[in-house]
Amino acid sequence: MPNQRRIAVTGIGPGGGVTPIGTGVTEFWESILAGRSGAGPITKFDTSKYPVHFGGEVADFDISEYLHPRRARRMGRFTQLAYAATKLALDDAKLDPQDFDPARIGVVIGSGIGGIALTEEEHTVLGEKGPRFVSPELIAKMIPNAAAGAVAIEFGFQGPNDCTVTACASSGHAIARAVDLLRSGAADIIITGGTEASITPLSLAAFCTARALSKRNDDPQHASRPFDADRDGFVMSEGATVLVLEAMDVADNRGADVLAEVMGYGLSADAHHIVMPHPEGEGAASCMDQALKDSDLAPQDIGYISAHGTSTNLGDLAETKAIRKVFGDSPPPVSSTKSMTGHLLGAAGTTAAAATILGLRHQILPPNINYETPDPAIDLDIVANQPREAKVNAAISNAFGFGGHNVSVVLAKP
Amino acid sequence: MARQDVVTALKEVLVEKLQVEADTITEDANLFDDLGLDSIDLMTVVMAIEERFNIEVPDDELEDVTTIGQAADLLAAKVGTNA
Repeated sequence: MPNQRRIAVTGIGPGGGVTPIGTGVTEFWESILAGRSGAGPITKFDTSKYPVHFGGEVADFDISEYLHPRRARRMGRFTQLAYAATKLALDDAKLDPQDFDPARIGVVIGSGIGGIALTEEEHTVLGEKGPRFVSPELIAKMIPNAAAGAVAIEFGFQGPNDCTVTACASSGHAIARAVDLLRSGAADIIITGGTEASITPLSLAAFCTARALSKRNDDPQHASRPFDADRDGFVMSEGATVLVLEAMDVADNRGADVLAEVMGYGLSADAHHIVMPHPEGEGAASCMDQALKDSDLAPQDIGYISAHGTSTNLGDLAETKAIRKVFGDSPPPVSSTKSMTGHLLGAAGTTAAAATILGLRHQILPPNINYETPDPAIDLDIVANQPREAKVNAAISNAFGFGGHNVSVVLAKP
Repeated sequence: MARQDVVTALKEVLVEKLQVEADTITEDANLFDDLGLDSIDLMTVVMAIEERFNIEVPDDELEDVTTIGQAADLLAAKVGTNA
C-alpha cells in the first residue's frame, strides 16, 4: 500500500529463559543454529498418572532477576514471563521509554489461557476450605489481559493496550493488531507478543485426553517432529516472546537498528471445526494470500515459510496443502521452529516470528529438527535438521489456533 | 491467646505472602502508606489470619484499620472471643 506508515521490528525478547531454548536473543538464536530441543521431563508436578510426562518448561526462571518480588507478586507466571520478555526486548531495541511520550507507546500481548494455573489452585482452595478463602487476587491475576496490563503499569506505557486471545494464534493476532495501531497512527511504538504458562495439572490432563500431545515419553527431545512421517502430536511448552515494533519514521529518527520490516498480515477463519483444521487448508491458504496482498508482494517474493507446524498429523497436512495452494509447485523452503521450542501456544506466533526475523537478519533459515522420515503426503522443501544459508528478502510466518483462527505475518529484510 | 501471637502471625503473613520487608513492620506502621498494601493485600492478610486462628472478621470492622497495631487489636479481640 502506498503512503502507508511502514513498521520496523527493533527489538526481540525471548526473555526470561522465556523460551525453553534460551533466555534472550543470543541464546535463542544459538539454540536454533544448534538445532537444540527444549523438551524434557515435566518437573512442576507429578505426572506419573498422565500418559505424557514431558514438555518444554522454562527452566530456572527467576522473576527477581528482572523485577522486585513485591511487584512481581501480583503477577501470575505468564505475566512474569511477559514482563521479562518485554524488558529483554526493550534492551535489545536499545529503547529507553523515558525518551518518548508514554501515551504514544502501546502494548498488545496475547495469551491463550492466561493464568489457568491460578484458577486451578484457587479451585482447590474453594473445594477444600470454602469460598471465604479464595484469593481476592485471583481474577486480577488470571485474566489473560493481565500481562498486557502489568507491562503497561510497570513501564508506564499509556498508549493503546490490548490482549488478543485466539488460542495458538494469539500472538500472531497481537502482531496484526500492533500493525493496525501503528499504521493508523494511534501509537508510535507497540510492545507486542505472547505469553503462556499452561504446563499445569489440569491443562496437561485436558490436552492429553484430547489426544493432542506426543506420547514419545522415552525420547522427549525427538518428540516434536513437524512434517515428519512419524509425528504423533505436539509438545506443550511455556514461555513468552515480545517484539518491539515501531513506526519506521520513529525508528529512523532515533537511529534504531532495524532488524526487520513487518510488511503486512492476513487473517481468516477456517469456519470448519473448533479444533480440527480444514482438511484442505482453505482457511490457512486464504490467510497467507491476504498477507501477501496486504504486503504488496507476490508468492515468488517469499523466500522462507515459518510454518505453524505443530507436529500433529492433521495440522501439518492441512498446512502443507495450504502452502501448495498459495505457492504452487515450487514453494519456498519451510520449517517449523516448534521442532525445537515445542508449542508455546499463545506465545507461539511471536516466537516463530522472532526466529524468522533472526533468519532474515542472518540470511540463515532456522532448521526443522527431527525430520527423519519424509511423509509422502508432505511435498515440501523442509529445512531438514540443519540451518540453511539462503538469500531471502521476505518470509511468511504462520500461526493457527483452536477455534479455527489463522494469522500470517509477512516480514522482510530491512 | 496473647496479642503478641497475632502480631507474630501478621508479620509472618506480610513477609511470606506479600514480601514486605520484616523490619518495616512496626506497631505504628501504616499498612497502606508505609507498607505499600492495597485493599486486596489487606484482604489477603486478613484471610490468612482468619484461617490460622479460625476466626471471622466482618468487612465493616476492617474499615477503620490503618496500622499494624490497630489490625492486631482487632484480630486479637476476635481470637480472644473465639478462645
